[in-house]
Amino acid sequence: MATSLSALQYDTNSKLLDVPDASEDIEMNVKQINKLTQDLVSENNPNFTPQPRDDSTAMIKKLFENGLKQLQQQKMAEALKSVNLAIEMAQRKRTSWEAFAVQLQELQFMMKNRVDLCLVQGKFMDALQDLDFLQNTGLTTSDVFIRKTDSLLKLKQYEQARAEVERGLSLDPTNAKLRVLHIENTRKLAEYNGDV
Amino acid sequence: MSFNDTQHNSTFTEDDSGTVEMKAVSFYTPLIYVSILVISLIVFASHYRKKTVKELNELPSLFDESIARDLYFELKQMNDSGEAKVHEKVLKAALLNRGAEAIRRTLKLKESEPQITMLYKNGCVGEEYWKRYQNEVKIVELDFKDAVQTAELMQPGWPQLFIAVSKEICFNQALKRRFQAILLRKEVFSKQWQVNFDSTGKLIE
Repeated sequence: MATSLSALQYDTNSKLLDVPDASEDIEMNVKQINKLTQDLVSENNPNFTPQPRDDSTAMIKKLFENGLKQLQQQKMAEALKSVNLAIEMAQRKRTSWEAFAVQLQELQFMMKNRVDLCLVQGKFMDALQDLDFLQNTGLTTSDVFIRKTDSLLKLKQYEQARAEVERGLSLDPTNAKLRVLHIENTRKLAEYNGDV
Repeated sequence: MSFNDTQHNSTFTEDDSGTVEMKAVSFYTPLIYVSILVISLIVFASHYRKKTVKELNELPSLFDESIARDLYFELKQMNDSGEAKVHEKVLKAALLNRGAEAIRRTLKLKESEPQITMLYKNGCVGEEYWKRYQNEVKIVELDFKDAVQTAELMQPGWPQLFIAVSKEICFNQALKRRFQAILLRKEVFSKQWQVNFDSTGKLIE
C-alpha cells in the first residue's frame, strides 16, 4: 500500500501535525509524533532518560488513593470516577519514554482495582474489556480468570465462559472458585441448550 | 611394411629434442593478461551485484510501508525546502517515532525467526520468501542505524540515550495502542452479542 503523505500539515504555533482524511496507520503515527512533541516541549533536559518523573508519580498516586478512600466509605461510583481519572492522568502525564516496566505495573495495578469496581456496579462489559487488556499484557493469574468467567456468565456468553474457566483451571487445577464457576457454567450452558 | 607406418615405437625422434623454439614475450604481456582478468572479474562482480540488488529491490516487503520513516523524511524535506520552519523538537519527535518503529520491526522479525527458519528448512516456504525475510532484516537494521546516525547529527552524544529511549517508546506505544482499543472493542462486542447498557454502562437484562 502506498503511503500518501502529501497532505501533511504542520501548525507552526501549536507544533502539531495533521493529515486530513488519512488512513488509520497514518493517523496513529501522527498522534504518536504529536504526543512525543508535547512531551519534548515540556522537557527541559535535552539528555532525558527513561527515569519516571516524580511529579507524575505523585499526582497519579494521589488520585488513585483518593479512589481507595472513597471505596472504604462505600462510595462506589465516586471511587470508580477517581480511579478512571488516575488512569486517564497516567495516560496523559506520563511521557512516552518513561520506563515501560513502571508504566505497565502501574496501569495493571489500577486496572485490577477498576475491574472490581466495575463488577460491583454491574458494568460487566467494561470489566471484561479491562480483563482482556490485563490478560494481553501478561497477567494470567487465577483472579483474572475468575473475574473474566464471572463477567461472561453475567453477559450470558456461556461458550466463552467455558473456554476461560477451562484455561484458568489448566493453570491452577485446584482453585476452588474456578471449579465452582465451571460447574455453574456447565449447568447454565445445559439450560441454555435446553438439555436440562 | 606396416599399414600405418608405425615401425618405430617412439613418438618423437632424437632430432626434435634439441630444438625447442623460444619466442620472445613482452614484459607487459602477463601484466596485460592479469589486468584483463581482473577488469573482467570486476565488471562481472559489479554487474552481478547490481542484478542482485535489483532483484532484492523488486521483492515485496513483509511489512507495510514504514509510515514513521516516511513522516520523518516528509518533515525534513518540508524544513529543508523552506516550505515551513519545522521546530527542532518536532523533528526529534518524528525521529524518535522512527527509531521506535524500527525497534518494533526488529523485534517482530526476531520473534518470527525460529518459525520462518523451520518453515524454510521443511520446504513449506520457498526461496523467495526466505530472501524476503533476510532482506527485511537488513533493511530494518540499516533503517535503525541511519536513525541513530541522524540522532548523532541532531545532538552530538545523543545516540546511546536515543537507543534506550526508543526502546521504551516502542513498548509504551504498544501498551497505549492496546489501552486505546478497549473502547472500540466494547462497542464491537456489544453489537455482536446484542447486549444493551444504560447510560452509566450497567447491563440491562
